[in-house]
Amino acid sequence: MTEPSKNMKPAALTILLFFGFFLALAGAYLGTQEKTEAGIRAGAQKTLAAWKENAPKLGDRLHVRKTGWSYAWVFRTGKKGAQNEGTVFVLRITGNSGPYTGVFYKNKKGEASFCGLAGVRGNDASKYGITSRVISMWIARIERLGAPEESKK
Amino acid sequence: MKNNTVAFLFALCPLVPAVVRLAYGIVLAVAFLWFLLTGLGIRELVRKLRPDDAGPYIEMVGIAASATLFTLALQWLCPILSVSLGLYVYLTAFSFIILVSIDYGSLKNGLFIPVLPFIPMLLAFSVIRELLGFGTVSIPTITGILEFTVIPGFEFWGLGFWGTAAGAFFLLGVAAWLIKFRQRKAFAARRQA
Repeated sequence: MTEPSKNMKPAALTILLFFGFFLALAGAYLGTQEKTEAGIRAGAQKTLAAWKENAPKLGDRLHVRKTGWSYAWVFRTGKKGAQNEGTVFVLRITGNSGPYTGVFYKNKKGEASFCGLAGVRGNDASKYGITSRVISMWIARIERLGAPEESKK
Repeated sequence: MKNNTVAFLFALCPLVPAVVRLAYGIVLAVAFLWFLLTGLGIRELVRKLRPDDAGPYIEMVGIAASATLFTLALQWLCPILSVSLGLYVYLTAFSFIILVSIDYGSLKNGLFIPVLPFIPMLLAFSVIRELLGFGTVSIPTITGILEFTVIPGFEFWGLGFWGTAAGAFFLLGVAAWLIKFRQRKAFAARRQA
């Protein structure tokens, strides 16, 4: 074997390995997203039901532009363009005692409210170190966000 | 490894906000085990590939890929927990790299010595914090975390401070002092013998 082809072999195998990583990740992503979305939807809906008697029902998943990973789980409530249209945000909020999954609702006027924590016992967020200051900060952030778009599947 | 305590504290620091619940501790301990297994596998692959100087970079990419795979698996198994813990899986990978990088001698020999004792320490730290800060013990479930009350009436007389990051650093300080004290005592006993 000549010198250049000898050097090419590890490079080719490395590229093959990276391609293998890419295939594994793409396959895992496609295989898990449906169940993940269903689980997050169920958890958020349960929190909304505990928050309000006539809780809004989760609709299509939305995409908020230029906001990154934190706003990956956003859902529409009510019909598009209708008076009861709103948005539900499921996101990680960190208080004094670790990270939790918070659920927020933003109405058509752009006013946001905290609905509760998903996946924990009871409705008292302060018990989990989520203070009113933390909640206010997230409400302000959500109210500042632009209008979300339909998620492309 | 000359000073395990320091390496452990370095590796635990990025995870302090998350290891406040046993449920979180369990998820992150499984993540550590996963990184250990995939780390060994990737190391073996790299050894066979012989990419010379690129070896450590390929290993880093491999650990990043395995962290993403773990996040996707966590999303599939515990979707609600994946929202709160997603970022910390990557921080666990970072802690794993800190542990194996500090103990480079063990890494060079193909051994990941500090990782295995770190896992029970992570679990112990999370269970102590949860008991002192919430009076409960929790486990991860599909719908979030399942809490069991261990200390009744905690809401009335419990001190939630121990569940906070500030409380965690106090506990870490006490743990470091206790380990040092034990090590010095053992060293003195050996010198006397």
